[in-house]
Amino acid sequence: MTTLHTTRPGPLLAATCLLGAGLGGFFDGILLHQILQWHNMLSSKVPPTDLVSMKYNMVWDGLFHAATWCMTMGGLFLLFRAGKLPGVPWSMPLFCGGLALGWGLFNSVEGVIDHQLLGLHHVHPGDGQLAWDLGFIASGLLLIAAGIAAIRSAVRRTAEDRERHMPQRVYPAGG
Amino acid sequence: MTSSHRITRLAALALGLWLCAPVALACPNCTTARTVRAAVWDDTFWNMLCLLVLPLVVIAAISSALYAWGDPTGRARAVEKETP
Repeated sequence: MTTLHTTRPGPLLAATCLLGAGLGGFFDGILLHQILQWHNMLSSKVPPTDLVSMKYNMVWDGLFHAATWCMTMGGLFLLFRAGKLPGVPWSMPLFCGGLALGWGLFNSVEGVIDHQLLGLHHVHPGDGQLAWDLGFIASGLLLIAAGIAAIRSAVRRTAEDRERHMPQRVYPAGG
Repeated sequence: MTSSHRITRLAALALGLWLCAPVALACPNCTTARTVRAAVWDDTFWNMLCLLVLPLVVIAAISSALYAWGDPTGRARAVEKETP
């Protein structure tokens, strides 16, 4: 009888990807929107120049944070579920690689869609805003590359460990 | 510290709080808040909300694909094991 033992990183990757994207969204919202106040969610559409427009942007920042909170919660539930599935490699490089992949996806996808295509806001409006926007997207691509490298290394190591600890296959003579 | 100094400091603190409090008060139903609510909940609200969540929907779709197809590098391996 042949039993198939599969290394299945998909559930952990999906969970950490959502978690990384959610935490990347919180990082953006807390650091760039609130602490540094470089931009708000709709600051290119409604510049925050008076109290009403500031509060208007504050509401949309809150809705953005609510969406990233939902994404983080989804990641947490998937992580809990992944912990109970068989064959999921529970490794720190895979976890960190997935987080980096998710954060990088957030920076690059949000950078392309919100900053370049829709023009909802820019990272640092004013002189050189295109450079700031491109730098934001580049940081996302770097994080994606680092994440994929960590994931590749973790999956390869896990597969090698499994092969090392499996008994050799024995084929019946004359079969 | 004598009791008269303590009373003076407390009075100064109370005066400071009283002067600052109106500035720090939130106004959930003042004219400004009503104007903002009307501006947010206008006809474009759902369109703007869709635009806001669009990047997150794209990332959720990528995450679903990762769940279904395994790792993005294609290195997941199946290892067969003979069992009696």
